Amino acid sequence: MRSETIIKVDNIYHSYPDGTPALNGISLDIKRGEFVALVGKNGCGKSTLIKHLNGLLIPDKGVVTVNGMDTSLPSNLWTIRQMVGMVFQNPDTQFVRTTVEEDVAFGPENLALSSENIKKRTYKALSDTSMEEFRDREPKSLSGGQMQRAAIAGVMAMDPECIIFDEVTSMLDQGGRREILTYLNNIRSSGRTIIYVTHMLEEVLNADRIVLMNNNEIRYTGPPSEFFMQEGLEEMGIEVPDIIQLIRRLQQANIIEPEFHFTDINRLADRICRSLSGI
Amino acid sequence: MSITLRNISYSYNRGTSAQTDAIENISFEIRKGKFTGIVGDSGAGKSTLIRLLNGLLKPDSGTITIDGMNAAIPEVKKIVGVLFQNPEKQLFCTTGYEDIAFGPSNMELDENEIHQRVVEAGELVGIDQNQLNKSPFKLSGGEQRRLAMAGVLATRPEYLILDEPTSGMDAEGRQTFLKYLQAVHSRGTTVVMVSHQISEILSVAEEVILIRKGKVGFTGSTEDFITRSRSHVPPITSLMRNIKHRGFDVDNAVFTVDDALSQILKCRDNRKGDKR
Ligand SMILES: Nc1ncnc2c1ncn2[C@@H]1O[C@H](COP(=O)(O)OP(=O)(O)O)[C@@H](O)[C@H]1O
Ligand SMILES: Nc1ncnc2c1ncn2[C@@H]1O[C@H](COP(=O)(O)OP(=O)(O)O)[C@@H](O)[C@H]1O
Ligand SMILES: [Mg+2]
Ligand SMILES: [Mg+2]
Repeated sequence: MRSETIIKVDNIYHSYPDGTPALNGISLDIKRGEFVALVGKNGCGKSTLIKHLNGLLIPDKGVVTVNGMDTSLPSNLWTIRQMVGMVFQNPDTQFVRTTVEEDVAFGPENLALSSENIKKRTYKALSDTSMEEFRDREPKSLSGGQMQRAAIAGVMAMDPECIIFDEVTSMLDQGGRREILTYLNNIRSSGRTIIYVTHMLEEVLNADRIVLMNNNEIRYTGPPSEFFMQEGLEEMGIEVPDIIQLIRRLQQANIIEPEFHFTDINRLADRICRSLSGI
Repeated sequence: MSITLRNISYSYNRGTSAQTDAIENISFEIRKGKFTGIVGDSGAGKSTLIRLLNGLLKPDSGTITIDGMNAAIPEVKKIVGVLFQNPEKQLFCTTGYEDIAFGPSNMELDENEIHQRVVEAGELVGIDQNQLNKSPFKLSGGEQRRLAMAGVLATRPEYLILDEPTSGMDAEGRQTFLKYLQAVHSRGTTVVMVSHQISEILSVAEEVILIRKGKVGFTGSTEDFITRSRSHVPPITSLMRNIKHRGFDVDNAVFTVDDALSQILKCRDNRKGDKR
């Protein structure tokens, strides 16, 4: 049986060549199938950390293993990069080919699969992200949300066990974000492990776990329900969603109980109305 | 005085198999002096609209007039300033000063005038002399974006149009940016802002235009939008509508935490009063 942990980060340190410290003793275990949200202020080290998770960066000190394989061994990298895919913030710099379909096929083509198999994977990835109708389009002609879906399709076509998203919605408008979040949920239900970096907390209220970084260190790891009870979140660059702020205030005003956890608007409205009716 | 669109349509790659009908027979008016927010899903056509407004794209049909003049004529371009998406990518000079001066120095102004405009535009967006003399690439992301806005402001546009100016910023950067933008508006510049955050638009805009699949889904005042729009309302507004729908006497035209809380508390107190 495979172990429950897919990625293990053991006390790693990293500084950039110009001396900027970026990671200062990070330890983190990612479980198979887990949806982990990684949050924190700009510059706190999130991107540096996730680049360590598929061997794009190697720790100065400490060890990262993916399915038990050490990322610092070059012979492991090929396999690790197939297991852990990554989608970045800037959609328009991630494309290498002239049409969406060719671009999505790029990864599988490098896996020495049969051409039929490559086609199958490409089509499945395009359909999983509802990008079929755009397959002949030039990636640069797509809207931001569509571009990010194409980038996600490219990663999905590699069939990775784990996908890391680094602020993929931050250049998108609200609609684009909603699109991506929908596909995120599809990917999640396929059982894949997801690590999702964002500074918009409302995107990850349903994550299994939130990891908060500040100043190159991990400051909190735990379920979303407890996350917002911490002090000083605002100073750490965390924007507490309006609806959560309202819940906090309603809790202070004894309209809803301190244990109440937000799941959806309808349930919250229900709770408030019961309180207003004196129940 | 206004920007007026009448029956505007625009398709990319027209007449080819890749034709995309981005804008379909759109008409609306942006009134001078107002702060107008444009919202809509990704791919709805907002950026296309902006390219049409500043003459970068020519409509397939329909007319766009700005203060009564055709939008395509050069005189009009002088009164419209556009800040495109991720404008920091277009910074290229060795100092922030030069970047801001780039626009005005193409306008046949004398040195003094240019200098005055650069410093003023810098001040308007909170970029001080020290930062003006630095390489733009040494500024933070939020500062870079404000610097790019200063470059547009230095041309003294009467209409300032911004495409998703706060995307990718954190809460603090966004607040700061909006503060400066409001200051620009209060000095008399008409502002048209496309935003990815509806609550952000509602907090600053007086008028809202919702674009849905290349068509106008809503136009009207911000208050009307909160009361009437059936899509794109902020979570707080949805919550208040939900509560009202259950027969409770609350004002559902709110979108801020403070307003929602005071509505709920007022409702509770009224109910207590009734029981006694
Ligand atoms: N290529 C680089 N060279 C030097 N410093 C860097 C580089 N990339 C990031 N940094 C610095 O490392 C720190 C962590 O950055 P990053 O991991 O990108 O943070 P985040 O993704 O949380 O915004 C910051 O101080 C940043 O300026
Ligand atoms: N340069 C282009 N070539 C072809 N199609 C485009 C181009 N730019 C945008 N589109 C298409 O036009 C539609 C509207 O896009 P856009 O105006 O960018 O929307 P928004 O800014 O609201 O996200 C989308 O379907 C998009 O794919
Ligand atoms: Mg980052
Ligand atoms: Mg756009």
